[in-house]
Amino acid sequence: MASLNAARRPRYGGTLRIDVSGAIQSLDAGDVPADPLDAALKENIQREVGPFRVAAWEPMKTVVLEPNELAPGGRPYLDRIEIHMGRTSRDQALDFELGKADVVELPLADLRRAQQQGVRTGTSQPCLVIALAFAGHRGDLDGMRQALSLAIDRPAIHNVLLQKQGEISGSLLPQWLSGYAFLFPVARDLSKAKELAASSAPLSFAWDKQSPLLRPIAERIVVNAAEAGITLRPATGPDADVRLVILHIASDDGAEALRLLGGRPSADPLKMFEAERELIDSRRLAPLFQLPLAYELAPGVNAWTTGPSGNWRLEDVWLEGVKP
Amino acid sequence: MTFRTRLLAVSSLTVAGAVALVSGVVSVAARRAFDRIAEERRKAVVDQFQREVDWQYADVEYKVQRVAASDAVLQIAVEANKPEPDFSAFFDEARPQADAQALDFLDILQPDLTIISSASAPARFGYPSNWLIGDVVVLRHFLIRIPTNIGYVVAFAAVRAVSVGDKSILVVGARRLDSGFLALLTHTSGVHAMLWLADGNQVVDAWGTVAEPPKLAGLIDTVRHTHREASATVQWKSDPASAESVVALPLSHGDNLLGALLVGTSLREQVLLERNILWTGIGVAGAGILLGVLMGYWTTLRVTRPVAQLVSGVQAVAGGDWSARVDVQSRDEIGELAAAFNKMTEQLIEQRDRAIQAERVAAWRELARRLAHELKNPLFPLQITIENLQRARDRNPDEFEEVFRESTTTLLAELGNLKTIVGQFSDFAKMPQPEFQNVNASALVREVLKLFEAQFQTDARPRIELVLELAESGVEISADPLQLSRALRNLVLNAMDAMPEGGTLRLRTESADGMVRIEISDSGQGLSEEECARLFTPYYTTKRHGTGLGLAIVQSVVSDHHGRISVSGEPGRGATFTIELPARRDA
Repeated sequence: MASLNAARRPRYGGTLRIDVSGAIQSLDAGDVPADPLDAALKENIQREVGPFRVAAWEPMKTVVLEPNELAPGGRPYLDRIEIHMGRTSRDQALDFELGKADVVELPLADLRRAQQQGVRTGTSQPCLVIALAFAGHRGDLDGMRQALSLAIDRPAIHNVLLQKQGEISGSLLPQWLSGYAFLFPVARDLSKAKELAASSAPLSFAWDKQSPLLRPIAERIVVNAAEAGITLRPATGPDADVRLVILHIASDDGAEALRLLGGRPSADPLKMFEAERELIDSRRLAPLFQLPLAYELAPGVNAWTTGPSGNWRLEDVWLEGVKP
Repeated sequence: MTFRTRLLAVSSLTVAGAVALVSGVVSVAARRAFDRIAEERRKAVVDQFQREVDWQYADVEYKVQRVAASDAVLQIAVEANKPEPDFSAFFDEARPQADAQALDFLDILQPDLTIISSASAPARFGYPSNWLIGDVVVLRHFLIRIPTNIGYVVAFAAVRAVSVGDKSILVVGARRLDSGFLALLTHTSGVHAMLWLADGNQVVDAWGTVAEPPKLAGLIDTVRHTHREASATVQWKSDPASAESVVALPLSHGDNLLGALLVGTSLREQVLLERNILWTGIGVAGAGILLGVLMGYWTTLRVTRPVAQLVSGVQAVAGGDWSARVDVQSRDEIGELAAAFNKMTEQLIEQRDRAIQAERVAAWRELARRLAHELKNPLFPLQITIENLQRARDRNPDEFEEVFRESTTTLLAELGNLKTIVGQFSDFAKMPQPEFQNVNASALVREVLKLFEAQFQTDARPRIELVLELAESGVEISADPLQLSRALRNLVLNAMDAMPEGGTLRLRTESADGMVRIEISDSGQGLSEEECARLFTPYYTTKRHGTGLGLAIVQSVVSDHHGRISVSGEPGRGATFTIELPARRDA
């Protein structure tokens, strides 16, 4: 990129259209959406207030951003950004194919194939944690938490269902953020799992049935659990014995990220490790994978970058084919 | 039961029986016809089932072949030939292929049956197939039992091996045998196709779960134990028209019984027709019986009326009315019988008239003979006496006076005899009507016997012992005591005449069955059977000197008293006369 010709030189103007599945109700600072993806979306939009300003806001549907001419780093290249919320994977794919969207979310299972097919993609560092969350009021499930964690064949899920995207992890904070994630055990031990789960009662198991990411992982977990003698009965609602959840690592700083997750932050890596382990035990979690956010980019979109925690940097984005 | 009633009953029963027989024959024939139709329908359904099965197999084979020939499966086969194949990129290939080919189940497998991709259980990649066993690989198609999260299902399955290089993979597809398939079999009206699955013991049809599978339990048990076709009749509701003839066709994979196809053929039409035939039969039978009764009554009248006339005629003849005639115009046997009857009565009258005439002649002859005989006896002495008088006057005038005196005495005596004879005939002719009054039979007997006390006690003749067995009560009768005592006197005299050498005279009175019986028995010479039969004939007598009117008078008296007299006896053992007279009711 050292010798940019005229055609590849950044240009001002144009409207960038982004389709996302998240849908947020408001941009108020104190209102934190329960869905981590919604929270990530809100954070991304709020970050842009600076280079951009909110020109139009329709809750749960549309956000329109326009450049801030007096931004500290100078006026962004784009004249307008339209963020369409609540779009399903199918809607996003259709919008992208019809040219109605320039940036859409890309399921991780399709990322590998898309990259093999030469599709332009943009990914973040792993910033989503997929974990099992056991019911807080069931202290008797600690043994089952360990048994289920040992029963899950993480490599098979990572290789097949996640198409080798993200990382296998037994920690909340990703390796790139904490540096000690490898210390958390992830190996499968079916014999020990069977031993721990011997004569256990069936557990209700819930996940977001609308999530194309969670559904196959949950089904595979059910199969793995059955192999260990653990019966997981699909259920709905927050009262299930076990839930498959996605957590968002909302900060590029490890201590801050741990704090946001509810842990005790510390500058000492050893204490951070202990704090994270306590957090995992106290919240009765069983982390499984660290996953990135991935986007499919239209050919005219340039300089799309995301921060380590998946945050957009829209002030650098410019569009080809736009008349100055 | 009268002849008319019997005839009526027989004719009615004949009609009813005939109708019942016809109804039964029609019912049986209809049932056989329906059984034949049901059997044909069952065969048609079974054939249709076989065709549908063949079509399903062919369709599944075709679709599995299409999947096997797809680029995606070819890529998987190519990957399988690599030294370290990585199937992770293909774990979700089966689902779109199954959707495209409308297959309920599609698995892409490694040769060891490890799942590369599964449409129905995508999460089971890397695990061995849980519904295939090794031997299916050599089959083109087969019936298989597949576990799902709602239980086991039975499916038509086909398998294809896809080979690239040295390695191969397997494509196995299946289509569920479910309500949709059963719906294909129910196009034929009156056919109800059901599926029983051995796992879960559930019975479904084209509309879902069958409400009352216990009614199929017996049939299913038979199939479960024999693994062979079986049939039974199942009545789903209390109405017999809800019954179905169900045939169970076992569905097997090798020795494993996966379930059974239950083909029910409605018996509704058969039941309704049988019911119609039954009610029609009952109606026709009822109408037939009614018609039979009416026809029988009419026929009976036609047949029995002349018979009844004949009966009346016979009864009239029996009652003495020989002039009775039967008016029957028919020319059949009854008419001939009536004509014969009329002819018979005419002949009877002719014979009776002839008999009366002959009897009269005979009676007159007998009367003339008796008169001649009775008159001859006194006439001969009269003639001799007169001739003696004539001879005495001509030859011995001196002795004429004495002869005249003796002769007149003799003449007077014989004339007296003649007068007596004439008087007896006159008395018999002039028998008066009895004057009834209350009479005690025993007392009357005693009064009669008083007249003969002297004769019983005299030594001038051999002694007759008198034995009385007279009832003291219950022997009151209504009678003319003069006539009845006269009759008794005659009988006592006859008894004494029968015992010239002496003997025992026994008189007995008793009451029995509303009659008073008077018996006069002697121990005399007795009577022969012929004598007993003729004894009461007028002018008949067994005595040397008798008019033969005594017992005739006795019989006349008894008859006038509404009684009857009989005699019994044997030669040498005496005779017994028995008079039976009605007892007084107010006695």
